[in-house]
Amino acid sequence: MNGMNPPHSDDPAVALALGELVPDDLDVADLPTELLDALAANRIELANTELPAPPPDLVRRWDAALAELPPLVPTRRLAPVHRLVDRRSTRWAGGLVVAAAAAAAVVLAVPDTTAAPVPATPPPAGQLAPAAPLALTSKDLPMGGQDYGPLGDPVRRAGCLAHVGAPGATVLGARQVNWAGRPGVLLVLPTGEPGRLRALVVSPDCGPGRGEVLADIPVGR
Amino acid sequence: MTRSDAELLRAHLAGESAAFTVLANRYYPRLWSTAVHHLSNREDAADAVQDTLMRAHQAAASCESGDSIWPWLRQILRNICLDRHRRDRARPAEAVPGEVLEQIPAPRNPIADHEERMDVFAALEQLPSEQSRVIFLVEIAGYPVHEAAELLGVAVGTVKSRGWRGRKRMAELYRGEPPTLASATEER
Repeated sequence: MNGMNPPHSDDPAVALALGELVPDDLDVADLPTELLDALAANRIELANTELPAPPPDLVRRWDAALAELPPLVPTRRLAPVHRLVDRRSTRWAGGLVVAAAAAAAVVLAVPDTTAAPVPATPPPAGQLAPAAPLALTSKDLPMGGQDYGPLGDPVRRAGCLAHVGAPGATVLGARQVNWAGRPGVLLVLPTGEPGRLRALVVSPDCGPGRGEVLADIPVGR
Repeated sequence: MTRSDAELLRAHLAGESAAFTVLANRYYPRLWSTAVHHLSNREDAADAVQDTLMRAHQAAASCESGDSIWPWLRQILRNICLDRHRRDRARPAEAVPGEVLEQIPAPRNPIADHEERMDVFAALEQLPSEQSRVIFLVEIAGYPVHEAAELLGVAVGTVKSRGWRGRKRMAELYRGEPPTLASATEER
């Protein structure tokens, strides 16, 4: 630092010493050169400092959480699905759902949150529902609706989707439901095939490394 | 050979299962120390880091950082911490200030090789926590002043004045000077 002239904020050495943490009304010319030198040295050390490792129990916990997530599906394979969703997103609530419903050969009875439970016994997790009356309308499928309930946190939702085998899936709609007398969250997912959707009902505690699939039903042709 | 952040990120996006964990491990110390300075207790900070890792894992395709993914991770962590602050405002606070101080990264077993590090952390540890948090967030984590102000819930001017008092105090400690009345009590 040049001690011959008063410090000036346009001087690069002064700017380095001060950084951003300077009150707007500070008069740089009043600062002694020794202080500016110490500030510069301090600032460089702070920027280059090596931070200590976190506690080992936390490292183990974070590693375990990451290990539980499945690898990403390479982007190229997902692209057609995303394009389909993007292209049709503005008209999801209409034609596609109706077409899917019309072509559906399986039952999806999605109870309202206020309604009594519909099936006496839930379908086995991960399996198709047995044949029964079709009760699928655009009102039942929450296309574009975002009532995630306990899965409102995107991080928790992503962890839930990964846990139930749908990592990184785009959720087209969500709604809180009762499924066979049990509370759950209905998530409507694309399959990548036109006119075909996936209705997934997960337990309300679903999240990273936990939760249960109450129903997993393909909808559409 | 050590792979760069960008190479590991590309491998992760291509489906290589361990690539993201290797990449994330590089940033554990920085994420942890930064989260501790954001939040009020150990468990919240640990959760915030875990949430950041999971969100980054899922959203890796959105990373546009160059040589280092830190600016991207830092923004994810910031958003998560702000969400937590908003949620906490709706609940009774459970702050544990003592834990915050414990987690400020001061070396517990300093050795000769780490003398410089000990000095800078020792100086940082001498400051009031409101000053050390500002200095950590801006000078070490690299947040712009306005983002640090948002994270701490104070005005930009307050961040600047706290940071300035802290930095002046650190410089004095470095030079072996006793604390001045102004640096200990001055409040904007």
